[in-house]
Amino acid sequence: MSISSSRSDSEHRAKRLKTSHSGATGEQDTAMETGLGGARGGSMRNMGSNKAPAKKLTISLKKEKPKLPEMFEEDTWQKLQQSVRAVHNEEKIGQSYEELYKAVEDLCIHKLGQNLYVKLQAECEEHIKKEIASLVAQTADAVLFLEVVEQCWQTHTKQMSLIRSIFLYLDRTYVIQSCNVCSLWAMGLQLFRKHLDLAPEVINKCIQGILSLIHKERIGDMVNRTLLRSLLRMLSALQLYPQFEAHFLDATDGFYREEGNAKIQELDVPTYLVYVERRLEEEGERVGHYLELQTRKPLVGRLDEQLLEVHMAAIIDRGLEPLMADNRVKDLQRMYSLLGRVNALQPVRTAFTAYVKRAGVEMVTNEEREKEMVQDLLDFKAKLDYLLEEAFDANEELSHSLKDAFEFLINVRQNKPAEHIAKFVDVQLRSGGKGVSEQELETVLDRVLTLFRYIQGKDVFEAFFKKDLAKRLLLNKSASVDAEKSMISKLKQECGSSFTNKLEGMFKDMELSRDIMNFYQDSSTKKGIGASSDIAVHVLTTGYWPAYPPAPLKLPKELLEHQESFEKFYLSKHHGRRLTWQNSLAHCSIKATFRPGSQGRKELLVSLYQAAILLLFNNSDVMTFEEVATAVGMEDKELRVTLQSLACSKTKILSKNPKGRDVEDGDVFTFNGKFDSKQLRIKVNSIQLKETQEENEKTTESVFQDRQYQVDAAVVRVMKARKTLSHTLLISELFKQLKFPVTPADLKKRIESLIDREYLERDKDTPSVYNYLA
Amino acid sequence: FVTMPLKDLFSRGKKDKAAPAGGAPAAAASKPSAADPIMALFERYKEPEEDRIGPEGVLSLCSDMKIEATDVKVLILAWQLNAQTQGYFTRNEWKQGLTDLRADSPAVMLGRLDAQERQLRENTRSSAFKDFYRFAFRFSRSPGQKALEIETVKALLPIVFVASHAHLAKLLSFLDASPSVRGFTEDQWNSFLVFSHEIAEDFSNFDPEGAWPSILDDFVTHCQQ
Repeated sequence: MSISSSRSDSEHRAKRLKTSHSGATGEQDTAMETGLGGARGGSMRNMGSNKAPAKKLTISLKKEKPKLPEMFEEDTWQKLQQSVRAVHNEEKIGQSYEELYKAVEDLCIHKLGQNLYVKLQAECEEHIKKEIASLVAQTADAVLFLEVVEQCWQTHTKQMSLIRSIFLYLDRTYVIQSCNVCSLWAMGLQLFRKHLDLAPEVINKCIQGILSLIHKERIGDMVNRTLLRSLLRMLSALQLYPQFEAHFLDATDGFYREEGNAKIQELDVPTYLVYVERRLEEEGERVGHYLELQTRKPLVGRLDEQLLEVHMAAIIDRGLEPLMADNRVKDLQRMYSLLGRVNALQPVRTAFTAYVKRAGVEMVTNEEREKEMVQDLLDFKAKLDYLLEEAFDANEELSHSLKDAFEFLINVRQNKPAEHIAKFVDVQLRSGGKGVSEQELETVLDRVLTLFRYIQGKDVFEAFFKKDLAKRLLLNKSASVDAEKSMISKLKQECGSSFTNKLEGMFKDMELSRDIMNFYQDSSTKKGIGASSDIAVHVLTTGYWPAYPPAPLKLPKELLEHQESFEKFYLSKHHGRRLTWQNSLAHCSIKATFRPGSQGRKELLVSLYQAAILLLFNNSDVMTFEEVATAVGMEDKELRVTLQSLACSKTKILSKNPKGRDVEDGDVFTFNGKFDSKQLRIKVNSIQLKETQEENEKTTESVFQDRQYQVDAAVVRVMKARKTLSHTLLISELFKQLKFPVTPADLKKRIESLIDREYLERDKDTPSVYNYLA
Repeated sequence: FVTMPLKDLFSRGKKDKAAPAGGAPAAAASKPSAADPIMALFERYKEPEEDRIGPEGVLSLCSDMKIEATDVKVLILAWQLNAQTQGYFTRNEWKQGLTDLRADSPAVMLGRLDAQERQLRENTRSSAFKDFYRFAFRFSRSPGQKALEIETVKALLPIVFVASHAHLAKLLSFLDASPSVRGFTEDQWNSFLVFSHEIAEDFSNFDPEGAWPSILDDFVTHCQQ
């Protein structure tokens, strides 16, 4: 009797012990191997437990090799085949798994593995062929068909799995040891695939069915995701997935082309973008739910193409401007990130620039909103900066576009922006404005400077700023010296010290004037003057300050005394200098008594012109226009304006007869004894602060004049250095040297003027060349 | 004080003239007899009080040559003589000029001037014409003025050029239509000659960025509207 035991392969060569108890001497033992060297020859080792006296035992092997029973293979295969069929038929298997395993093992050991494999393969093929054939005739309903297919596949996998575990030994030995033989599992797949290929309509139906389910899900219905997943895994296992994928991507293209076209017409841009975002998310999820991971990239690529790339122009044209105009940050963020996927930065940039330019140019050229121009531009820039930061992720290229656009729009109109910026700064620096904190003021000035940076004709700004600064300093209207100094240093950083030298000079003059006044007060020259009035003088260095037109005036005697005294004092200290009194800039504080008693005494803050006129009324209560005119010797227009401020405005210190706004020849002025006011100190000189249209035009004119001189000087300078130069080279040299905007036509006119004045000549032989004339 | 157009120039001061057409030398008896026919002519035409030929003398000469006072040959003569002052020829100018011209009588002068005129007309690109053209400007100025008044310009151009000269007619009508143009500078005058030679009828090769004086830029713009 042989005891069979399931020994593992590694114990394969263990020697079987024979003991005298078993009485197995002489019996054949199939497990005996030649490896047991000790058994040959016949001597047996005496094992320790053997208590019998040592007999010599001789074991002689029979000469014949043990033979397999004749029908061994057949029988064994029979058993196995039955089991396989049982599996295929979903019946209970007759034998035990151990038995079956052993059978396989037996066959393999006896080198019958190959036969076994082949037989098994044939068996499986039969079955699979049948199964697939059954699929062919199936229902037309897509979903049902898919379910059937899935069922078939599940069955197949389950069965193959079972078969594989029965034939495990085969899989682990024969299969591994032989090349060109695939594993049982793979074999099953191969067979499945082979027969599917013979029935291509099954594959097609399957794929189409899957696509129709996906389509259904896309339009919003619920579908059986597990089914899809399972089928797609099947296709993957059968290496049919690429075929599916190709169809799937085409279907995706078609679907989104259509839907994209419809949606872009129907929805407004922000809503469309939300839709796109949603679809992208959904498709991403689809990959997670049932598609293979490798499909994610091409799938997303198709969506990008059909939904974004195709409609890029429409999205930008219709969407960018309105969203920017309305500050819709979230929508812009979405647009930016979606368009970023399809590399749309260039078109976005173009549209962005166009919008900024258009809106900006409108602000700059709108004559009705001129006063608000600077504030509008500041607000606009701030808004764009914010959008750039928040919605466009501080994209550098867009930032450059913004800068270029502003440089363009602010120079579209030659001088007004510069003028208005200077005025804006003046308002900020003047006292009596809104009470802003130091910090806020700094921020505002910085933002204004950013705008200033874009201006090409900076000399216009300089002229207006200087004029306003002079007024602020002389009329004591600066809100804070620190703020003024801060502005100057900002300008210095921006434009270099040559720009700000004169401005700094103005400040220095103010300080020096204070010092001079101190000396003057102590001086003997001063002591000689009567104490009924006093004088404070600012000495201005010509060249630092704006040029003021001469302003004739016959000073009242009292003031003349002071003026002459100071002049004497000053010239004694500074020989060789010449003082020119600027009457238009001076202001006075006058004590006036309208009625007896303390109520009737007022202090009036007036301009010098106003003072000169008022003091006349100390001698007479009534004067005609002509009398006043003769007495003060003022320029006619100035006189009328000044009289208007005294007699026709809110504070009527004089009354005019006939009444009316304008001062005409023959009007009669009377001291207004009835004048009253709640205040003790009354400012009447606010006209000095105001700018007239004329003044502004004059300032602009002077800038242009100055530019002409600069051009002339530059031409002469260049020609002197080069002696001979062609027209084009001269023009390009000039453009390099001149810092303000100028056209070639302007330059030509100056060149012609210089030819006429014989600074240079046109070459006799080559008219497009100029020669310097020493 | 308005500068007169050229044609009035030589008819200024119409005092009674004694010059008949090609007659005997006038009042030569009281002067030292000039051995030289050139100087004899000078004596014939010169002013009684001054040592130069004045407007009447010129008129006299013109009638001796049987030409109008407005004839371009008078201007050519002035050019040949390198006369410095309109309406007057000094003794030296006369002597040098007529010697160069190799003419010693009105008839010969006429012949020479005729030849000159033809030559100048034939080739306006020659350096001789250029010299003549530039002379015409300087000669026609009022004393002390640097520019030439526009009326004079308009009168002078058709004298120095033939009517068919390139761009001439258009320029004249442009000047008529531009009241703001009060005169021509020498540079503008000289440039027009070059312009008329170089620039095509349709202005296709005109470069507004080029070195042309801006009046010519305006001219082209005006024509292209």
